[in-house]
Amino acid sequence: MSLLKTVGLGMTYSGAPQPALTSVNFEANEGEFIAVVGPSGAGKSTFLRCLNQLITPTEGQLFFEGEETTHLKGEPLRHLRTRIGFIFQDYNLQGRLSVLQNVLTGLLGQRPALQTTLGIWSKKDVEKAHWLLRDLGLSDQSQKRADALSGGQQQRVSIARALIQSPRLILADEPVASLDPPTAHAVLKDLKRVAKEEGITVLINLHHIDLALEYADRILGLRDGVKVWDQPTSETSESSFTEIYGRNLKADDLAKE
Amino acid sequence: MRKHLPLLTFLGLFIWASLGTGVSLPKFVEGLGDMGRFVKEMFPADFSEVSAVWPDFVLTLRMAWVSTLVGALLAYPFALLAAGTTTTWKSINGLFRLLLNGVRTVPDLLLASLAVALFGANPSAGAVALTLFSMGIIGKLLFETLESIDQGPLEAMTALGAPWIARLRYGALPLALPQFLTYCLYVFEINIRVAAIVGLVGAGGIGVWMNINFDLGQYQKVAALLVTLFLVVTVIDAVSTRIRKALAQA
Repeated sequence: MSLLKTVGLGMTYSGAPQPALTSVNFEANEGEFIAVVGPSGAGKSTFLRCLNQLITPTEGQLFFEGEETTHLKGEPLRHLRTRIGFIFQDYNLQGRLSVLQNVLTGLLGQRPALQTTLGIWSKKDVEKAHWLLRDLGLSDQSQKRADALSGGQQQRVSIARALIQSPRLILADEPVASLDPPTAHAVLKDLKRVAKEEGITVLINLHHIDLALEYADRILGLRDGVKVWDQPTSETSESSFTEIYGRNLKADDLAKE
Repeated sequence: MRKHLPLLTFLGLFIWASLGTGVSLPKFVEGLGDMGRFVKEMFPADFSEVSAVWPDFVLTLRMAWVSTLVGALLAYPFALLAAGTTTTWKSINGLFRLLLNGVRTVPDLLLASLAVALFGANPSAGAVALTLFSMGIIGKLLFETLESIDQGPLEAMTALGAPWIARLRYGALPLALPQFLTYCLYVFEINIRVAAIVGLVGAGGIGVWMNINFDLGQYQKVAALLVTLFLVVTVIDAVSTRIRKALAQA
């Protein structure tokens, strides 16, 4: 069943001569793990940020769970965002707060503001946060300050923060670009495992083709803000990637970034 | 030529400023002579009445402390509304920046005189003036801190649908809090001196006694008050500096 749909989605930054994204038609089904690939400046990040309207698209329509969400503002937009997790390249944790508190902030959109502002969390919420941390191998770290953790651990905390939202969709913008290769694999494995367990749809921007090939069910190829192709991972070929990167990729994609 | 432009500009401004104020080297030297006579009259300092006015020293400290705290509390919402990172409504930003600038434009002695006119010649007038003075400084410093904090956590809060107040509490405040406390201590240090000054216009505290003794020509007593204030300020500065250092590492 379709969870997310874009129709003719386009985005031009104010003052920019070229659109960053041009009429992208895309659909994501429940439980899919979809990678978005393309060279720097292909519009991957813009695409993801348009989906939860961290960036407001300038053209086209957005649908979530069958309802149009294109022009949502204020409370309805905030409510939509509570059902979409977002994972950032640089984790965007609150480094001065504890790991546990960082996970709990995932619920800020869903609990009364007065209560959360005073730092009051229900026993159930705290238990769920602990459970998620344990599931991601971080149970010993819960009382540490978030900025005391390694990069891979911090990214797991941000995954836990997204999961506690009980989201239908997780958007992950280059989530492993700041991590070393073994850690990148470990984090992606964890993300894929929990997403499959919970039936969460994941859209993930990846710079490295080999990671996309290894983890994604489906791959969306972008170039210059245009959707070039969108196919199941098993059907992609070397020529698919040459098409979006404009050259033989295997040779130098790792050297590039 | 181009290389020396900053220095020439500096010198030019200096000459322009000194012509306007009538400062010249001969006048300065002449003034030093008067200053010498004045200082001579202050010796030896007469400490006989210091213990009698000691409660007013304490009162000055209390004025400084309470004004710092209330000023800081008032400054907080102003800074949050003035900073573009915490409030994304541009016209609100502009309004509160203007208000913060406005408060700081009024000189502290004028604030004190106004407060005396409104509340009478007593310590509460001094406290009101100092509160506004503190609010102006802390608000400005905190606003600038908030403008430059890491946007990452705030962006994450927006992305997960946190309401405005929760974004502030979890996205911005943990980053700004140590700085904020540092500013409060810093302003407290300034406030002790200013609290003594506002006494000159009758707004309570030790400044009142300095003014009275000065008018009576009791320079030896003024000297004793100055030395005592110097000691008090030094002790508090030392303690406060230590706390600020500890906060900087937090």
